[in-house]
Amino acid sequence: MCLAVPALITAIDPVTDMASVALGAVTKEVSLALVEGAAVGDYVLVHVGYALGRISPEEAERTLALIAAAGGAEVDVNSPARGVEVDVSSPAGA
Amino acid sequence: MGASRVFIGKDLAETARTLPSLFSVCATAQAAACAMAAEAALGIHPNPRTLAARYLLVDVETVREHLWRLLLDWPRFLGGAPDGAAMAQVMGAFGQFRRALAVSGDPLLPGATDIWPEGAATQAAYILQAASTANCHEGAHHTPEDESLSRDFHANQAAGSANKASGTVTQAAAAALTALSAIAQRQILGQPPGDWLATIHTARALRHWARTQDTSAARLIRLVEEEGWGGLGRSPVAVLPPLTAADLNARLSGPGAAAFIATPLWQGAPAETTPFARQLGQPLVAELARELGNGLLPRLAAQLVEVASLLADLPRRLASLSDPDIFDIGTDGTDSPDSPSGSKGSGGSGLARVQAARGMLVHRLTLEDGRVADYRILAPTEWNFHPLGAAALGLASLPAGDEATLRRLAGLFITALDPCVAYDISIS
Repeated sequence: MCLAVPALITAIDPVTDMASVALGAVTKEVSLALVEGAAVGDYVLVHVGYALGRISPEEAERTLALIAAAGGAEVDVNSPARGVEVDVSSPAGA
Repeated sequence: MGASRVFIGKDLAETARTLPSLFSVCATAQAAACAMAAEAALGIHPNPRTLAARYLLVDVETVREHLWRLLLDWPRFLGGAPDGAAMAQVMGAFGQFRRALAVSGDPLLPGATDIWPEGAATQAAYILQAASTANCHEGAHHTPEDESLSRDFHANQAAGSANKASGTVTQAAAAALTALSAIAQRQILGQPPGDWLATIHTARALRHWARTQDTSAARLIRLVEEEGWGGLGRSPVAVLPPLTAADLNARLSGPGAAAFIATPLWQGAPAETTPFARQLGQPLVAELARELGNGLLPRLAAQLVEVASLLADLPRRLASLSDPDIFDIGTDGTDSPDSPSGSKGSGGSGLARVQAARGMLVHRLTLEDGRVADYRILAPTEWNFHPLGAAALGLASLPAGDEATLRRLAGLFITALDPCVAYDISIS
């Protein structure tokens, strides 16, 4: 379902407007194009490669606890939530 | 999916507060569905103005989500860069609209009373004024009632600085809508949304628009046309018919509920609930569907039509919050809220349906002593990305070709169906 995950900004590249964010032990690169004034140490909500907005550390903690309780595997941003298989060898309309 | 089970045992207030954080991509639709399901369970009739505000917020969220596709995703298929700057403005305008409607209490909370319990007429007049201002360059016509309320506005304007302050906030809602329309006009449609809708009502007009405009949206439609991809991903999967609260209650309770939520079928067959399904009655989408079924071009056109029609109508709906006898609560009569007496099950169960950006979202919860005893959410993506559904059959029907082309076509088709999750394409 429509999940975005809180992550901690650990580094920012001002040239590309990209940030490294930490999701537990995982590091990921996300775009900061949609967020104003984000800084290292801020928590942001991350969705499909973009930081959506800043949230407080308390809200981040609360949301991460909820996500963990809901079953973390569903929202592991590094593994696609939904794999789509396309078989190139099958004829059209198969 | 069973993520909603985390709310079992929590009290309603905490559930309503935290649920939008968990499902934050479509948080507004989720919050509205939660509030209305809870009210149905408790036998509360929501205040009509609050209800109208909820539907308004959900539809502005839909505009935001569609603009994400149009500004960030569509350019990628043309080899261009996503328009992050415009999307940042969209996010800002959405936030401004959301804050403005919550100025006298959050309409998305269960049991919310009239969002303007005091001085409603004054507040309403401010809204009308603001919405009229927002609408003027779109050639809106004003009724005598509007004039009268506008006069009230000027009378009330002198009444005091407190009212003036709240008026500023509600003017912000109209300004946010104006900003969204301006972005759509500048970056996508090439003309005001209402004008685009009035002009581009046939397939021929759409093709002409695609050839003569230079926005990413127009160029993508042009590319799809030139490459003959319009019918790509066409499948026999039907549009989900309007379902009653009783239909949904029956399937979302009982032993088969979990399986239904994970892989829903209607009368034994997959069905889709998407912007394409919602816009099938619109002339352009209907004409394209006759020609190309539920293929790529009708889907892309439906997203454009939905953005344009919502943006064209939202100022009027914002203004209608001022109507003291407000009954116009949504854009689609099939999703008027389920009356508490109609959907309230035994043991305090309630169900609500909301037309979210990607299709119909259903919440069903059971309350016992103010705590959540059961919570089930049926998301549109479960219908649309069902193993036998529109996405699966559409992808299976893509023409054989080299891997890069197939990957591009699959990506385009999936974007047109718009899952709310990240996806990966593996070709086997």
